Amino acid sequence: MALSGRLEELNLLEILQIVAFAKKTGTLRVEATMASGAVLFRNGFVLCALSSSTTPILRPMAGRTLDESRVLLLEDEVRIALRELVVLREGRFEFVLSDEPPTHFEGMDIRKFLRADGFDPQALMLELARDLENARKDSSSLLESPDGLAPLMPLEEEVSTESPTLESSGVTVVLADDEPQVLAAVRTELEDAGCNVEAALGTDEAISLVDKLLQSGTPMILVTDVAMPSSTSDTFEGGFEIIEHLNELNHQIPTMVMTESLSPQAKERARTLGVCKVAFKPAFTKLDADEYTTDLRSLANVVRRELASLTIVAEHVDPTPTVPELNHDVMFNFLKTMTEQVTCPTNGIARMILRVGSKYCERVVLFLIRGPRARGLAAIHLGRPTKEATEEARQITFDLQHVRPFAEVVYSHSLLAQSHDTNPLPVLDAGNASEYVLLPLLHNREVLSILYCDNPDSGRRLGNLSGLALFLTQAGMAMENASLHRTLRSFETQFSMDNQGPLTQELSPIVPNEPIVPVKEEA
Amino acid sequence: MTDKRIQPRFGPLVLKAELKIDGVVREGFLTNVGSGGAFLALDEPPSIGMEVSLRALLPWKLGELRVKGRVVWRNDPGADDDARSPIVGAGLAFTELDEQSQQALDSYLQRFVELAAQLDESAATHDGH
Repeated sequence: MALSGRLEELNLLEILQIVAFAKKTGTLRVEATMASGAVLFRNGFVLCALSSSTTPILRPMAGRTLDESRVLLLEDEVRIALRELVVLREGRFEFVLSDEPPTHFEGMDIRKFLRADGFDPQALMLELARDLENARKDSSSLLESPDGLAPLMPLEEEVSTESPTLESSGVTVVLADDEPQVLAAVRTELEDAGCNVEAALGTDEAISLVDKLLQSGTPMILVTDVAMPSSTSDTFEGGFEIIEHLNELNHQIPTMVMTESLSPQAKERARTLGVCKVAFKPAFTKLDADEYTTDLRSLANVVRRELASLTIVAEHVDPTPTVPELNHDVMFNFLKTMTEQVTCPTNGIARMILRVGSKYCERVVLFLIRGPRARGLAAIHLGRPTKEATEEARQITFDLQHVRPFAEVVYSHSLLAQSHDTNPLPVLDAGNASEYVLLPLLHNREVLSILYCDNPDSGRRLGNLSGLALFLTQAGMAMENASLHRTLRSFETQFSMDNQGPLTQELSPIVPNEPIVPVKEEA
Repeated sequence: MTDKRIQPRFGPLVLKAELKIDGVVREGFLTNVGSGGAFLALDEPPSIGMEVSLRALLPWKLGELRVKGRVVWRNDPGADDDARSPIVGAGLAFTELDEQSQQALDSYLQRFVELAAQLDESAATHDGH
């Protein structure tokens, strides 16, 4: 029986350790979708490593004597190849013993690539393990950073594109402005168009009004002036405060803001708060009464027109905070968009995970796994302010040994569904939940994070979470890729410093008078 | 220097570990692990004679290793070529290893021996062709 099998069973770092421990000579070949390559050993020492991405770089140097810069390049490429291979999640491997390492690989003469004394296996394994740990720390930092928890824009895919009918929508428009004339003009325009309007003169009134409508389960749209004193009079962006209040309560109410101008900072804030529309106010002048009236009508007209596209959406927003029942197409598009967004993991990755999770269940809590311990990182519990749920989550730390279901997920790398008969974390009140699910987020083949999911309010059974599990896989891979890119950049920087020139610069000419050995295919 | 260790050591084996030294929790790597001791790779190794508590999760669902050890030698940064290891760190002799951890560690090392033995079996297969 040869030492061959699948990387899912035995990872490359373990295989390298086994070959090095057994002091064997031969070739370890790895074939995976993401990458393939080989590691060549003599008496347990690594002589060379090649991957599908490094082979094209090394091929022009094949069979030729290497000058100092090429030796450095080769050593870097060996490390890069090992780094690429060691993180592979799935694929096949086979170690083939030989008396001497092969001289050719994929038609390339690799004799000059074999380091005579080999890389010290203990130091090399340690270097790889440290690389992986550093990558893990990078990704942990991404999850923990404020950016990782940044709020997100609502997605186009969550918004219906049906033609709106403002009059028949049954949606209440909450209109907020601290200027009575503006309030009156827009209100009249909207009511004339058949809208049900509730007006609020200023931030405080608006917050009270939306709270009241939420409690009564009234579908609504918020149209608010931006430049109003906040409830504490600390800022002059009271409009944003109202939207933040709604977001904190996890109510995705369609929102339009009215403003005379929008600075880049305000624009960014509006974007992150999920503002759907902006209606620009004309530069009002009260010196000319007719002009003022015309300007007010003009604004009211713009608001009515823009509002039409938001109305139908509001009908679909359930004001009571329960998990939305999204149809298959909407869910597919949502996941697709989120998966595209997660390829840039610096952009609110923890929030993205929680947000996707909240489409599947009422409460999701993200835990960070660090060695033998777990720590709560953030949470969304529909109907509760995210800040409060997150602060509660952050109080939770525990030893994996004492919470077996979590330890089981760390060991098995697999989803775990359990009944709530034995609550794994009494600090998280199970409420009406009859079951919970723990989903692992894998990073370089280790569990970096666990997502806890349950329905403590409705007590409903959890549905199929395969879409969520898939998203977590994508999130892990995105963080791995980001980390790998950083590593490759550091290799490139180091190589540039060693050679006082960029890696992309053309290499110095081949050593003169050195006969070029023809490439010979291996038999 | 003559190596007086009786138990075999597993040189290239690497285990990530959480350490407690003088009440301070740190992270490091164990290499050259044997059933009686290990090398602790750490940038600022503890002094000879110090006690170190270690926790490491073993792969293949083998459980957790909890062990205490004493520093019996150390390799400082910039140590000369005669150093026992080119890696900065400290040699530990295990002083406390509960039965569960001992079993987990033995199973872990045994698994490596078995997998290494498969390489020789592959030699037979390879030679046979």
